[in-house]
Amino acid sequence: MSTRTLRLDAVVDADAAQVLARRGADGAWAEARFALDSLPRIEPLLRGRPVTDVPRIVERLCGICPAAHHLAGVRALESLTGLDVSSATARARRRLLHHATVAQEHARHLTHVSGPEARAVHAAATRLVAAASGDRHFPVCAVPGGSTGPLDAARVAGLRGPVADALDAAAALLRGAASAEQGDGLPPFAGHDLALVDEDGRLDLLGTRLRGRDAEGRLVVADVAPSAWPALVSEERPGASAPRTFLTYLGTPGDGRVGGAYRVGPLAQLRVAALSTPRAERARRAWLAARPGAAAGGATTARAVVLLHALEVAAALLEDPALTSADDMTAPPVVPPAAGGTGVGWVDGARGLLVHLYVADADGRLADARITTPTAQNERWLGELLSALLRAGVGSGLEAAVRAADPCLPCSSAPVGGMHLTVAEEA
Amino acid sequence: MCLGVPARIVEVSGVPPLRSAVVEQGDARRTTRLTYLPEADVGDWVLLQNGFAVTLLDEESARESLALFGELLDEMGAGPTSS
Repeated sequence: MSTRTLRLDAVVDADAAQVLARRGADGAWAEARFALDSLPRIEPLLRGRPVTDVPRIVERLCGICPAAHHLAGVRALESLTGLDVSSATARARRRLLHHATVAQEHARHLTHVSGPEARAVHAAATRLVAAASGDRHFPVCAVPGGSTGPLDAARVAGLRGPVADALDAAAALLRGAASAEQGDGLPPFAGHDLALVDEDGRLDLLGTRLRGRDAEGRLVVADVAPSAWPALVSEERPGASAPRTFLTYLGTPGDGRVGGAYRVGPLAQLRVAALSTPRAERARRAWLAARPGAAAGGATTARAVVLLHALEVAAALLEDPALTSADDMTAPPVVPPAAGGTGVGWVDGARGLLVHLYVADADGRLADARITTPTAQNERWLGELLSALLRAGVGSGLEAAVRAADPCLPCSSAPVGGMHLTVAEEA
Repeated sequence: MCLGVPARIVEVSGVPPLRSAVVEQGDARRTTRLTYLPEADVGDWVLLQNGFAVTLLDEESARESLALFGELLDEMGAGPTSS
């Protein structure tokens, strides 16, 4: 059994980014990984608590992405209790919160492309997030089966202009992204891509179905429901900070085997399905045409494409009457008791797929949980990128690899050259 | 999982977009940049990433978060816990 200490100063000073590498028998670099030791698993702290309280706790511990955890957690409770979201108002408001949060995060990661445009998008997205989340950092938005209600029509009207301007700024970021690409020299990924899609099979960052493709674009996960998740994905190292998740039915990767290795995030999102919004879909097709195969390159452009998509979705939602008018399903439904069973809730965020899995006991307390973050899911891929770059002697590419895989650490959005990565040798 | 601990601004200097701030986080004081939060001021609560204050928090949210961290750290005791 391992022993771990959660120290506040380690959390506070988590700015440092370290690559841990091993040398082979010949003295050359053999294998590298990105240190995730400052990201402890919190599931052991959650067991025994009322399951309905779990989303609230997780949001407050991971303060950086409260909306993603809020929505994934509430969806897990809905899955556990069999609740549907019948209210069009609730669906619109959740979608606005999620897409605005994605735009906000991507804008922050594109500051190195153009500071003024990135800050303009970030400011507009922040206004959207504030409206959708009830002006609270920890969103007052989704409740099991619904939402806390419609948004004020005058406030929504006042957001349309800033979002239209932000769309223009996002288009400028997209044009500038190609020249800011750092990662076109990154080695291709031989594993699979996972992302969420809607009922029609188009990419949907708040989708109800999970799709996976292999490096050649063949379907390996065919639009499955959340109930498929517990059996679909396993952890090679259960409970570890870097759990090495894999698609169970394809087996563990290693020794040259691709097995069930996969990645999530913008590169996966663009390779998995077409986009529902016209400007971003045109950009996605151009991106794909420029990069046949599963290259890791183009990550900056991919991020700009998804940003444009998220803003297009948000702009359309601001025109949706459901967002500002209560319907007869707006009142939150009575939540059935969560006595026994398993619930799975997911969202596809700026970093990629986030999944909350809760197992409740007969008293409605959390018996077990598995929170699968994009950072944890991309750790294997990032390790492969870092290993290949070190073996090839391209130490200067390490920063591009970290930026592409985007672990949830402060370094991921550092200015170019400002990541302060260190390489430490492991025995 | 990433953990976000709120910090409170105790001092602001410079002009936008190059403003910086001194924040208090637990017992520690550190400097952060306010590039993304031009509106942030002394007394505001923020979350930090990479030396930047990236998120402005309302005081109630910040206190809720700190209370939860305190509760969990208390439950875990001062020493190591098995996991």
